[in-house]
Amino acid sequence: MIALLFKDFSISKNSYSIYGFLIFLVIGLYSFNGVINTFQTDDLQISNVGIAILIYVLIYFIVQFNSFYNDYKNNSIKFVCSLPIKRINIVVFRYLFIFIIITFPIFLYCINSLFLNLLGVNISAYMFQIKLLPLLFASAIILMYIAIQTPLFYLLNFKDAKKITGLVSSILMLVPLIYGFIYWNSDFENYFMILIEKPLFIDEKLLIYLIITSIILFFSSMIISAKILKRKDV
Amino acid sequence: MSEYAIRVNNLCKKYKEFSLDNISFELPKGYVMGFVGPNGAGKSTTIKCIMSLAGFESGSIEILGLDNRKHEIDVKQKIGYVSEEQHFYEDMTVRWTGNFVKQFYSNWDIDYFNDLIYKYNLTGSKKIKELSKGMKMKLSLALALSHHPEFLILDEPTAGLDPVARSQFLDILLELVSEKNCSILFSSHITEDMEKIADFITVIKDGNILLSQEKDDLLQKWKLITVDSNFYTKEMHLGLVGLKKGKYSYSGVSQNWELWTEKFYNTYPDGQAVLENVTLSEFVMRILL
Repeated sequence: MIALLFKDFSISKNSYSIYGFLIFLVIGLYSFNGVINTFQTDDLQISNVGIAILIYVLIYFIVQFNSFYNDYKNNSIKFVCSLPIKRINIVVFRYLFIFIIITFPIFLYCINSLFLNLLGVNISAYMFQIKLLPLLFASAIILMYIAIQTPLFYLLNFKDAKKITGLVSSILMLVPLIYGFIYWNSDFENYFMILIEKPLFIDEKLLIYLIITSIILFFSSMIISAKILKRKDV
Repeated sequence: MSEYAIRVNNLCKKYKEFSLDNISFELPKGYVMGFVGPNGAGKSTTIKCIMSLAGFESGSIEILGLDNRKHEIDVKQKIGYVSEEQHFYEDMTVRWTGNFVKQFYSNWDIDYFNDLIYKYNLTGSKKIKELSKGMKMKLSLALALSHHPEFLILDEPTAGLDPVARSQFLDILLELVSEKNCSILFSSHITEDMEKIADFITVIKDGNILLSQEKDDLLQKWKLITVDSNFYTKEMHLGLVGLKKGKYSYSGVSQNWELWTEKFYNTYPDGQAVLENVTLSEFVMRILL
């Protein structure tokens, strides 16, 4: 069954967006080095909204335009469903693929911590600084968002699902920007500067609740998607 | 052990504008069934139900003695499926596709797959999108055969193929039946294909099975009757199916041709009513009229 997971990676590997994602992730994080470096302490600071949005957008693209677009382009759900595979497994491994992609930055952080603790080498110091809290925050937000949007791709056809999720994403992406704008009471001229320079503080409990909620939502979404696909005529 | 490759019993499947209405047919092991009908008759829907690609409201489908819903995975391990349209990952290669599919079959024969790839002139490193429709169909068949299925389900496999590719494809199937003793359910609206390979014929129209029987029996039972139009009377409609008016004659097929001839044949001068064997194509065309 692991072939289902490798399938998604192999197919994504063959499309430009996965390279785009990786390049953007590295360059993006590197470019935002200055942003992240503004948070040198380990207290409950979270990166400004910009970095979260960057990762958010990139992951949104990788997930939507690789996995589901490839299925849509090739109409391959028919091919996969004709094989001796339980439909629930098709969904589970798609979610696992999404989960791996989303938590990839956290994985990078863990690798860095491992090197730091075992060998005393701070890899990220050579390239980019990674902070755990911003990544957790961003991942939790993205998990919740994907938990809401993914069943739509199983329920509707790709084009309709893309339209709805595209609209919802556009609205959702404005939320942190508007929030930031109001929160810092900024004027328009200084808006982007403030977005980069000002940290957002988040309550520790709230972050934990956010992570737990996102995981519950993600698993619930997986169950709903599995039920949808099981009943769907392909 | 069931003696049937497939038994479909009172299958009902409803869509908004179309439904399969109590479909029933069966195919003994080791035979080829031609599943014939015009476009939109319900062939693909029936096959989708058989392949668990679509659900159904009532009825049952038994494949090689197993219920296809209760034992979906076990059933799929034993069957090979070739669909009308090939839905492979276009950016991936032939080799990748083979390697992907093999991981889901417990008795995948990699050597046999490689043999088939070689035999069908497929290049492992070629991307799917670079293959012609005929080559894709051959790849699909290679994938469907490499786990040595006991039962092969082919949904309009020859549609869209040029005559050469179609002929090659049918030769492959004939070879398969003679060498592997594989049962085949072959859906098509091209009756010439059925004429060549089918042992049983099932005709479907508007979601209903019109008939399902052995091809030879069928061709023996049904006759084509042609009557000079000058002598044709309305009562001759009796027992004639697929009545067609030609330039100088009326013709139709009849299962009760003995009764018909008894009643009408002797009343005509020689040559003005002709009774002849019917070809499968002619028969199917008539019955679907």
